[in-house]
Amino acid sequence: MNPSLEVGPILRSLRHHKGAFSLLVLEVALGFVMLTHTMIAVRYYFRLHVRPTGMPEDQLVIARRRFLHPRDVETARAAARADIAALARIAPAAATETVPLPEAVAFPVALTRPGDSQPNFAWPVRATPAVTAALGVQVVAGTDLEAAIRTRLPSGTTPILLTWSVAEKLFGTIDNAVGQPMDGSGFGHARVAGVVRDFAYRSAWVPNAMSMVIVPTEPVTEHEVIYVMHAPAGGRAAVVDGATRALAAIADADSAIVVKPLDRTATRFAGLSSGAMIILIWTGFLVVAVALAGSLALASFSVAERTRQIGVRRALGANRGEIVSYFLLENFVLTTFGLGLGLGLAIGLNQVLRRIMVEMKLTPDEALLSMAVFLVTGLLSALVPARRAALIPPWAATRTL
Amino acid sequence: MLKMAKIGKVYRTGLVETAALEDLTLEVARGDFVSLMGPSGSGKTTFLNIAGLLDTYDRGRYLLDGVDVAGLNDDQQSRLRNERIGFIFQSFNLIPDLDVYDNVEVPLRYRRLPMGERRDRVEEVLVQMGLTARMRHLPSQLSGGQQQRVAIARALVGQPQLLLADEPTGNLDTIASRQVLDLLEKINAERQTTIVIVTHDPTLAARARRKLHVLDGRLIDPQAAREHAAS
Amino acid sequence: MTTLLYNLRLVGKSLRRDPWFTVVMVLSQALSVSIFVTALTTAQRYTNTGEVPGDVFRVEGQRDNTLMRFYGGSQFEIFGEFTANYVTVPMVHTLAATGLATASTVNFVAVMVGGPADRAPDRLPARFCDADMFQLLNVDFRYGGPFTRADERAAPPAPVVVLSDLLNEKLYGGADSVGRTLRIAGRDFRVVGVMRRRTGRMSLLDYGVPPESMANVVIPFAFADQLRPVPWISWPPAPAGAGWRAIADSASGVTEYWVRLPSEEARTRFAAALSAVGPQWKLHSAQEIARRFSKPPPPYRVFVILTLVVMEVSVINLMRMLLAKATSRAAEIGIHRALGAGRNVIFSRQLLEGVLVSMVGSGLGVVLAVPTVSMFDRLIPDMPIRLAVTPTVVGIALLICLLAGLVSGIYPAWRIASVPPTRYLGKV
Repeated sequence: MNPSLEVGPILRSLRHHKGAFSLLVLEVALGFVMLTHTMIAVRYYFRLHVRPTGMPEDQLVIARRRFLHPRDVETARAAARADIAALARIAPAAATETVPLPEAVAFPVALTRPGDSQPNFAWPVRATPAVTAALGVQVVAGTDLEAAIRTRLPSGTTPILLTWSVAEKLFGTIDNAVGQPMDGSGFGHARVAGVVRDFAYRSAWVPNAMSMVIVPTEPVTEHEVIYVMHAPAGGRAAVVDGATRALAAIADADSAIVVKPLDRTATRFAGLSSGAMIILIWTGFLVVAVALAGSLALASFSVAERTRQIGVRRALGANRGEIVSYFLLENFVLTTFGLGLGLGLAIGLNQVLRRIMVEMKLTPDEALLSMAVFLVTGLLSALVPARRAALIPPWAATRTL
Repeated sequence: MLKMAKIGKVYRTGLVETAALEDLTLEVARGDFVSLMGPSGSGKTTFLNIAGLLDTYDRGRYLLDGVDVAGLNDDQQSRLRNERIGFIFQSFNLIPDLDVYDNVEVPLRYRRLPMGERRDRVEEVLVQMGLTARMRHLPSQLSGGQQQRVAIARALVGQPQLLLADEPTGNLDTIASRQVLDLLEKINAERQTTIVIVTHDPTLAARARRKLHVLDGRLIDPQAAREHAAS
Repeated sequence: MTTLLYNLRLVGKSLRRDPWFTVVMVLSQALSVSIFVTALTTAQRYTNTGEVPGDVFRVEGQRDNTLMRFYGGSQFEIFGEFTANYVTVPMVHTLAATGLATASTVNFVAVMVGGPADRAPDRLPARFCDADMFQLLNVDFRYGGPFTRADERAAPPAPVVVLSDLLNEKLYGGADSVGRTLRIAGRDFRVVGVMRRRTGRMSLLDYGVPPESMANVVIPFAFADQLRPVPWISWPPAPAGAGWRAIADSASGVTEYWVRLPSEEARTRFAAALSAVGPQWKLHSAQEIARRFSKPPPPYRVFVILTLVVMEVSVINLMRMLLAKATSRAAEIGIHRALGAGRNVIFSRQLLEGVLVSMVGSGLGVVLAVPTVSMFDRLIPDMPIRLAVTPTVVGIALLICLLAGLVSGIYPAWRIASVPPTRYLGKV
């Protein structure tokens, strides 16, 4: 270890400048606290932004038939059946109550097992039985809905599908879940026909997004019918074309047809998460910029104040590199103290923030990244003045510069 | 030890040129105790800066212990300063943030000596200068005389061959001044350290074995100096 | 006064001596203040519902239910509450029949198909309500005015609608669209008014509307049976594929119900009528409802705390810079002291410097907050109100900045004033 770089004298000299030293340490500490938590928040929104929904979103196509005049539900259902028959020839298709990843957060259904005192909540997908194929989600236990409907159930009982999360939560294993009776708000008595792999229909923002229950119905409203189709990989454009033509071929003048590929980035929540990330990143950048600018100004200042001292050190035999190292080391020592204090403060603030928003949990990743940022900015803010210090000639010890 | 031949240096500030040194030629042998006297503006400090490799010169040649300093780069000059030269400044120039021990230790750190050896040398020189009691005091807690003793300790800790002093007693009272001069004489006698003192004080200059005079950037003979002083 | 001006002049000179230093101090403060004010603005809009009438009430059911607990603590805390606010259509009829309210309205949002008559029909969110809603919930108008009771009670009801500010912007670019025709579910309606979105304040009207339905058309409830809306909330959930008629007759709550009950007696009797329908139904005043929204949603609270920390960083930054500057001028201050300036003078002069820099920085920060806030507004889509820096926010922010200025100025001032004059005099 190069003796000219040892920290002993630096530490001892800092003892005599307690005020300025404490302020720098405190500033680094608070900056670290802020940057760390900003990173936690950015990570939260990023996860929401990119969180996979378990559906092959790149392959989904949404078709809608909008009625220009409201129709009776029965008439609408008939139209839906005709449409599905036409669409199924192009790709697996099902009529659904709402579009996947819609912009609205709807309400969950309450599921109860016989004997449950409290309900369990899950998000419903109400659609025609071909929905698992249409959404591209995989059945992992039991059967899909089409098969379930063919096997007759006691009248008044609906077959339903659960996602893995719900099945495990309620019945321990997915195989246990198959065949179990359940009651649901909105569909009464039901029996679990099968379990599918986890997917999130209504975006990842809702609590327990992957807790889904699929209910077979003919979901139409008096104003429109919505269809989901599962295109083969790379063949989405062809399916869009085919579906448009197939629907248009059905004579129905009192309606408007819209067929579009599913685009996650166009949803409101995508906008929200990316918007939130941008704002948070800007805020984090500000705090680093403020700390950097202040440190640069102060470091330059400190060099100017110590011109004579630097000349003396040069006179005593320090070369340029050693002058630079001295300033960098001084800065590094102070930054390290600041980060140490900052870590303690960050843990403290984190307790408070977690009580406000539970997702703000501190993990080592953010803390380490934030430390790295401050060490680097500290280094940079010291480097420029340090190099200027190195240019101070030795005769500054005797003459005014 | 120190050989300057026709050294010239010009300061340029804006449009004004000042010739600080003109054709300065002198030789200082090893073990000499030399004083250089002259009024303010005569170039004494410039001479000292050049002699100590603190500043550059525009004309002439300077050989330090046989080495032509013009050929040396910054690192080499720094090394030379560290190992061969000790400085004593008028205003002490102690580093205010460091205590006495750390101040004296600075040259040894730049010499990259290991901790044990540094400690031994520093303690030795502090004992010699009678400063052990004040080892952890700051310069601001010391009197002028004590500060200069620390500066001398710092200059000596590296066992330099050449000591350059710029008005070493300028800021001291009579007693402290006498102590410093006694000390310098002792160092010169015991270790054959070459000492060059630059001053405008005749009584101080008189204590040296060889007395040189400088005026307007040149060496002048003692007779001319006396005439100048009388006028 | 002259001393203050003299001190200001000295401070000004001092700041001008190191211009870049001063610029860094002012800009750092400005940037921190700008983001802090932005955070305050975004948080504050949720807590400010403005003028709410004293005699307006909403019927609500059981507020603590399992659904609310399911949503509690998440991003969407507020959704759980909605289920408590919805009553059934038969219940509305029953309560209206009591004749106790001097004004009343239903209020629910549905999605229809329609748009300007000259364009292809698109998804069109619609709010169904009675004419009384506009006065009950204190709605402002940008163009035109509301539809009236007369419009509703005419036989047949006048086919008129009101647009929300956001919808008017979306369809007509914000221009005066009074008199234009909208085709909704195949029927033509005439626009009679465009509502004004409040700046910086939520309206009670805005709660309970999903964000993507904020751009909605307001249709008289009298047309519900013809237009057959699909309400976005029905709780307990209506069976899928039930038409409007079935939903309206069912035991699913689909609409809010607001009433004006000016007298204490009317309130008591109305409450009794409510209890007769069911024990869980209660009257809640509009003011109480507004008070419920005293806390901004969790993400905004977190954002405010983060920017508060940014402010602290900037205060300490300023403190450090002021201290360094003061220390370097210590010799000059020593001269002032030798010439007779007392400790208090030095202290107050230094404090003045700190406060001046801080206030200039804060003022600049407030100015910078305006574009920051509008950028924020653009980044977060479909907000129910236009974000703007309100006087309240500016007031709070400037107060905090004054405090920050004092804090950052006091320490350096104290430090530099307590140095004895002789300490640095020799060192010029």
